[in-house]
Amino acid sequence: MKQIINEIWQNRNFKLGLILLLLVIIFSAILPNILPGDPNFQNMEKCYTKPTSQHICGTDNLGRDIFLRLIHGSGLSLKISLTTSLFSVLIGLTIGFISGSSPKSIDYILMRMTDLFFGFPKYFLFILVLGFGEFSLLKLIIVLSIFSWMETAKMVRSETHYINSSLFVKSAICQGLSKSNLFFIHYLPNLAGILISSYTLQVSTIILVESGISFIGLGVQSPNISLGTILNQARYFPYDNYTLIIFSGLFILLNVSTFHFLGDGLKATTNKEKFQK
Amino acid sequence: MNNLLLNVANISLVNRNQILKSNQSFALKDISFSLAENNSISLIGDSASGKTSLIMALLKLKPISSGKIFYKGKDINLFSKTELVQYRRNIQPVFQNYEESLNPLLTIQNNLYYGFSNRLTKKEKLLKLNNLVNLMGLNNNILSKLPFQLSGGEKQRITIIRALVTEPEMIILDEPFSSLDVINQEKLLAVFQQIKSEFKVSYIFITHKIPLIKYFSDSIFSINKGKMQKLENYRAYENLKND
Amino acid sequence: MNYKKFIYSVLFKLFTIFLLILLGLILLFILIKTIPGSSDIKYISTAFSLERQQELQNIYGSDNSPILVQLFKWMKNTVNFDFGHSTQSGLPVKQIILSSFLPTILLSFLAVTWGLLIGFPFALVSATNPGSKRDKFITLLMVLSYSLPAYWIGLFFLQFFSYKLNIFPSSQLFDIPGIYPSLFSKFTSVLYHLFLPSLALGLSFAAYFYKYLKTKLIDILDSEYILAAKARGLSAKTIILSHIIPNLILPVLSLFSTITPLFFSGAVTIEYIFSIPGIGRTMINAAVARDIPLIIGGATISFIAIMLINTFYDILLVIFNPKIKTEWINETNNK
Repeated sequence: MKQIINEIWQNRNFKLGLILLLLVIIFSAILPNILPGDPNFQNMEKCYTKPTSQHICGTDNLGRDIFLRLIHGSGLSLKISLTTSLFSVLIGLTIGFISGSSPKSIDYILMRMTDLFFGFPKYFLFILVLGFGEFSLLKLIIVLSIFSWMETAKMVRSETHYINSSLFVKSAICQGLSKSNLFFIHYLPNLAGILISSYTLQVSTIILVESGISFIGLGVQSPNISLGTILNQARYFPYDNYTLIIFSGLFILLNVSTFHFLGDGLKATTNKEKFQK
Repeated sequence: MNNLLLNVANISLVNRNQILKSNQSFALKDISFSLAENNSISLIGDSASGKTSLIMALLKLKPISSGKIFYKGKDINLFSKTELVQYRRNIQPVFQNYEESLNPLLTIQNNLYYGFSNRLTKKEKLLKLNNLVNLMGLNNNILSKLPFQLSGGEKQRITIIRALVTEPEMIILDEPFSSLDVINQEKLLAVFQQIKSEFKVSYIFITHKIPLIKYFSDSIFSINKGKMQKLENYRAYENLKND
Repeated sequence: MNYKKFIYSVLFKLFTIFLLILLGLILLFILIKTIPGSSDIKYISTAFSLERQQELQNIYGSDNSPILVQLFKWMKNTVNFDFGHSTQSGLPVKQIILSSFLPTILLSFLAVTWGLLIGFPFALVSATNPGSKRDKFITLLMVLSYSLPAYWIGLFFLQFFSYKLNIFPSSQLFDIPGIYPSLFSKFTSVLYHLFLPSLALGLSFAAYFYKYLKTKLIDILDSEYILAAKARGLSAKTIILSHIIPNLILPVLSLFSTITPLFFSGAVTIEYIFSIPGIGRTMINAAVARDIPLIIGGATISFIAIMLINTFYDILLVIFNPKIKTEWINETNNK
């Protein structure tokens, strides 16, 4: 165990990701809770101002403080992405594991289903489901996770195939280990690596997808704020004022690249070759 | 009259992805032998002979295409779940590839611990485990190590311990001596003999190191291209090879 | 070559795709049912007079029938591409959707081109100098491309190049529709209008292409095949042209097959910003206007189109790759 953690620690991508994660936590988790002020507070006298000491990132078209909006929006975007990725990885694990441990026919059917889900036009289906009725965060999370489990499933399936053919699993079956014991003792530890790296990379993808949906107005609704909804205001900014675009870009860049680096670092250090010493 | 532990009757195993073909190729063809209590048998065969398929068939990890395998008189294909578990725990394999036989992410203790019978308490399990470790001439602190920290010889001994955990009646030894020098072969031989006398196991011993089989041969068979043949004694193998 | 087996496996594959499309349609139907107000799908626009609405209602029938019948009716309509009429304009959905495809396809096509133009050279440089300063710099650039959503890049372009510098137009495909004397001028106008949007979308694709191509290139460059060519003293240009690129055709084809869904639905945000009259914008406007038939029709037609295009790619891949051919044949035999 310690060996593995050591190696992960050494990976440059991961280290960079950790530093960025610190920033992300500060901006998205800590600051929104300690800084006073309402991100929705409008002050029409102070629209479109450039950054001042009072408003670090300036104000938007309704006089709202951009910095406050960004940190709250970033927090919500992250919450949504972290939850969605969790569901997505769980679904992927289930389907991938079942597919990998099943006879060829069921495996084939499940893999075709995975292809099917890959083939859905995601954004149109989001429009379909989210465009009507009342908006609920749960609905958003469920819909997002239903269309993002496929990558994980494929990886889990091929890893399961590999574990299935390993001698230690065969020996464990010969000792009469129950199916659930087999899963938790032998399969899960070997799958943990790809599950965690899959999760982290998934978070970075979902942040982008969720902000895209919120940007076109079908995601998070006011008074809640997401990074996407903030960017929607950028369309109405005077062409000389780059404050909203630059700062919101920085936030999105920070959030997505953090998990991208973390995930890449984890992926590089948890592949099989490590253990075939 | 010794009790018959295992009776293999005319089993054949067709290579899976050729089931639909007209000229099928057999991994095992019409194999029969039996193993009585307190006896051991040796199988002489090299890599492409079908011995792996035979091991998998005996462990019921691969389905046979025809024929039957009887354990204490009952057809293993007709076993209920509990009977199957019982059977499997009584015929433990020691695979040739000990490098890959252990879960690389678990400590040695965790690799072995879960095979003990559930009737034992945790204390009893740990006690038995430590005894087995000592029996194999290993230090007890090996239990907290990870597989990659062990030498090849240590790993091999751990896989033998694993076979003993379920207190089996039969142990299948797949080429246990192949990567050892003569001195270590002798040592391992002594261990096997000790196990045989202490635990009363029957061995199914697969090797092509002919001189060693005399210790485990109440019966000797040769296996080649899926077919099996009974031999008079181990010297007969030399004649067979020259055919 | 055993052609009989191959044809058999192609037919099997087509049959599988057919089943998958059916399954997909059923899933879509379930999703549609989650929309409140879709139970009485009125394929009738309120633009018609009440009498006409009543007439059409009688033609299309009431929707209180049991769910399986509804499903069957819906599937039958889908196969005939009859999705009713848009509640906004009264035009048949089929017509609206099909006419919106062209701008989207054009946009996505240009975007993919940009993605390749940017991604491939960078991948080549990175693959030939792995670990170098150049490689690290490029990787960082690609992180930018990956982390910034396409619409952000689009907004930035819009603000900078369009509003401020006034170099590029900010919306639509034509400045004033109908004034173009020739096909050529129409064509140039479209390209001019699509420059910024496609570049924005392409930049966001670039990171994926870069990552994928870099891996494939490293594999190819490491192969002994290339070492032998270098040892023979062939110039870099010859090596690239006659050895590397042919080996890239297959990976690029499979890359394209994975981004087919994005081809249709990925351009949504860009079309929204730049007001490109493609299917993405049509869908968004339909959502805003609660135009249920249009949304259903758009999603369904896109889905079927994606599945068919993917099948086309699969078959292309098989033609170019004998290994996959044997895979297919083995798959069919094992079923």
